[in-house]
Amino acid sequence: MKKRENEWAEWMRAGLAGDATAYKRLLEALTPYLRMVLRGSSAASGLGAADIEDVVQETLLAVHLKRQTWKTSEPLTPWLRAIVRNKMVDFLRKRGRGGQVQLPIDDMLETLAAPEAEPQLTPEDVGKTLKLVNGRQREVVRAIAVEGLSTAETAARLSMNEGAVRVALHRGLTAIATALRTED
Amino acid sequence: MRTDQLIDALVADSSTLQAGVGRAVAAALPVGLFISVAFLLIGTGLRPDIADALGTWRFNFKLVVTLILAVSGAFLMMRASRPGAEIAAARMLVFAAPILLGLAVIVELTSVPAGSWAHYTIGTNALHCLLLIPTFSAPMLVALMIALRHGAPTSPGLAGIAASLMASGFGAAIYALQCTDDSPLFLAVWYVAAISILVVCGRTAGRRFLNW
Repeated sequence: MKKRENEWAEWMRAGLAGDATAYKRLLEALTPYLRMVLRGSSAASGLGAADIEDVVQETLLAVHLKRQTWKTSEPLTPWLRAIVRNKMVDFLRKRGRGGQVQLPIDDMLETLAAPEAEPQLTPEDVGKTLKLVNGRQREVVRAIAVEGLSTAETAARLSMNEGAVRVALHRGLTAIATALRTED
Repeated sequence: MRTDQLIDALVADSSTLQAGVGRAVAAALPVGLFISVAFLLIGTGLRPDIADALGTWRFNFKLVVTLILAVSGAFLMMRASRPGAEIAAARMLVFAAPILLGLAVIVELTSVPAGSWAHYTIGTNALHCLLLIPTFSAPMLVALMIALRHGAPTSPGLAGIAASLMASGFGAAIYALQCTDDSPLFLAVWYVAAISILVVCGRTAGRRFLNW
C-alpha cells in the first residue's frame, strides 16, 4: 500500500533528522509487520515464536545501525526488504538451514490482516540478549531498555556523564547485534 | 530483552549516526591513491620514456581500460553496499573493461605479425607486473574494506569483489605509468592474472569482514 510506504519513509526521514518521536513510531509500526512477514515465509516452518522474535530484533538492530545506508530520496520498502531477507537467511544459516528465502514482504504493504502482537516469551528468552554485553555497556542498556530510564537518569544513576552513557549505549547495541549475528 | 524494550534503547541511541558509505569511500580513496603513488615514485619511478609513450595508442589504452575498470568497480561497489539498491546495470558495466581489452587484443593480433605474438605476450616484466599491481592496489583495497564497514552489503563477497576491481583498476593504472610492456596481449595475460589475485583476496576479505 502506497500510503504505508510513504508514511514509513516520512517517519524514517524525520528520524534521521533527529526526531525521536517519529523514529519510535516507525520502529513500533514496523515490528508487528516484521513478525507477520517472517512468520508467513515458507522458510519459517519449524521456527518457534521466540525464534521469529529473535529475527525481528536482529532486523530492528540492523535497521537502526545501518539506517544511514538508506537514501532518503528512495523508497524505504526495497531497503527494508533486503535487510529482513538478509537477517532471515543469516538466522537460518546459523541453524544449518541454507537455501532461498522467499518473504511475502510485498504483502506486508498490501495486507489488511491484523499484524501480530509481541509473543509471550519465557524469562530466559527475555534475559539472554542482555547477557551478550558486559560491564558498563550492559548496565547502560539495561537501565535504558529494561527500566526505561532516560540517558540523563542513567548517567545520574551510574555516575557517568551523559556523553559516556550515549557511547556505552551505542557500543552495547552494536555488540548485541554482532553477538546475535555470530552466536551458535 | 523484549522487543518494545529494544525499541526504547534504539530510539535513545538516536545521537550517533555512522557516516554514510559514500563519505567513507570518499575519505578512503585519496588515502589509497596517495600511498600507491608514493610507492610508485619512491620504489620504481615513472618509465623514462613516458612523454613518448603518452603519444601511443597502446600506452593510452592501458590507462583507459584500467581506469574504466576502476570506475565500474566503484559503481558496483556503491550499489552493492546498500540494501535493496538496483544492481543489475552495475554488474553489467563491470564487463566493459574486459570487453574493451578483448577488442584491443583482436586489433593487436591483426596488426602485428603472428611471429611476434609470443614476444609481446611474454613481455619484459611479467613477474614485476604480478607483484607490483597487487602492491599498488593493496592500500586502496584495505582502505575501501574499512570504508565498506559503514555500508550494509547483502552480498559481502560481491562487495569485496567490486572493491577489489576498483582498487586494482587504480593500482594497475598507477603500475602502467612505469611498465614498459604496452601490448594488449601482455595486459590480457599478466594484468588480468594480477587483478585476478586481488579479486580472490577481495572476495575472501568481503566475506570475512563485511558482515553486518
